[in-house]
Amino acid sequence: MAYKLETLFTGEQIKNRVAELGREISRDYADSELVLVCVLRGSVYFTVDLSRELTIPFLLDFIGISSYSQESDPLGIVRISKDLDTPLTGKEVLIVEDIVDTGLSLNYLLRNLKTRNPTGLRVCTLLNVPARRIVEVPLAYQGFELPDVFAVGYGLDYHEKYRNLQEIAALIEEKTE
Amino acid sequence: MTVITISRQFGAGGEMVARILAQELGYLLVNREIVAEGLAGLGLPPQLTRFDKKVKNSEEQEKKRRFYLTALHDYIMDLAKGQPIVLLGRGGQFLFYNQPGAFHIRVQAPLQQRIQWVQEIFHLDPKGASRLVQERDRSKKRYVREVFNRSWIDIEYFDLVLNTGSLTVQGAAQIALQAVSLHDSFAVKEKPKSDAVAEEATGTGARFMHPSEAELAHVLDFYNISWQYEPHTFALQRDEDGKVTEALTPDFFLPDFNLYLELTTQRQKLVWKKNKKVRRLKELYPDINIKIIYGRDYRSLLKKFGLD
Repeated sequence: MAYKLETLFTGEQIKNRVAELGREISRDYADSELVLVCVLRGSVYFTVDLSRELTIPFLLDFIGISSYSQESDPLGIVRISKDLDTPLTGKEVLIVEDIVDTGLSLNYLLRNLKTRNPTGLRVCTLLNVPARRIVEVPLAYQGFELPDVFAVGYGLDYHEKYRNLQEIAALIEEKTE
Repeated sequence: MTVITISRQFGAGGEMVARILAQELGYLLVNREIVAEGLAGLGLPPQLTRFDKKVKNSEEQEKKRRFYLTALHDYIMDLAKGQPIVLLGRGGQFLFYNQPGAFHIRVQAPLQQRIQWVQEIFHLDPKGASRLVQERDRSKKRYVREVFNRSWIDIEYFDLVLNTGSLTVQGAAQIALQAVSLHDSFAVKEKPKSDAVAEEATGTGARFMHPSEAELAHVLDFYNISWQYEPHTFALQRDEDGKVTEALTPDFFLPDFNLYLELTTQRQKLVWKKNKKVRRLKELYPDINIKIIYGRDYRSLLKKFGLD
């Protein structure tokens, strides 16, 4: 199947928005012990750029969760594939996501991290796709709201391709004549 | 849901058996005419109703064929949810396989007997009748193989097989009526339902009507989200006697979120009927949270998980 890319947000637009989010988060967490929890792997690019825009101290950690696939054992369930090294008790935690669409994996992550007794637990997502939401999840910060398209670039992939695009683009099937 | 499916060899009298059953039981007979009418009501041009049994001979025709088949199956499912039906052909034994409230009948007869009957009915010579019977049998076999990837004569899918070579068509229909009345699923059909039936069907062992529902259930299981399959039916319309004439049974209930999900895999331009039903449900039951997952969203979900 052939695809084409249509730019949704340019590198410049992303850079400006990330800077705005950085300022907002710096203001909101000025007196807190902030832990940025980067959700592997798509949000790595966003997390690194966002953290560079923060003017406050923070801890950076990474978490990975398994994704549903056809290879999953029918009795398999979601699990943490790479856990945090940082204890969260008494800390203000900000989960950094690349995209929130169905809300399924974020819902799991929130339930899991809540059990670690952070003082606060909020979410910052680069992209929000409310049209595809199955379960509602609270979002404290969002970069852009997307319509119902499949987005790639700036860390987001399709079968491991397109992560390194400077922009965020819609991946569209090319109609064959 | 109450469904009797009739699979039949051409010329074995299956259509007659279906008519008798529908008449005796007061069920809606869903045959080619009803399906054509229903699909035309959904805005599908009539010539597509002849596509379902044609072999794909071009990419465009294949796309049209799959579009038609999706609409066809969703239409039949919708019909079956609203009233008891006798479904003639269309691979009903696969569509409603293992579905509570479904009874699957096969009507067949020896080849020579069918050829003789077809000769008489269609005024054909033996050669012509033989050709017609075998061509129609091949066509049915091909349809089932292409749509369901199954053998047309897989006996395990049937609750009852009737040989009209040794029974009369009337006799076969009477046996079918007896068998249906004795079947466990049908023994509870008179159980009254209130507006919101609280029969819980928890995740384990649920029998899904559509593969997309099973896939969604797997996804929800994976993410540890509790769900119930079709636990409640909501009356949307009643006649002057108070009998429910239209109802909606949302596919899933997520108790942790107090949320109903209705999954539709129809093409976007065919979902107006589903949208209308959900809007009506929200008007009548404003405290109910319900979300439709459209075909395009479902396909996005599959794409996200690399299942496209």
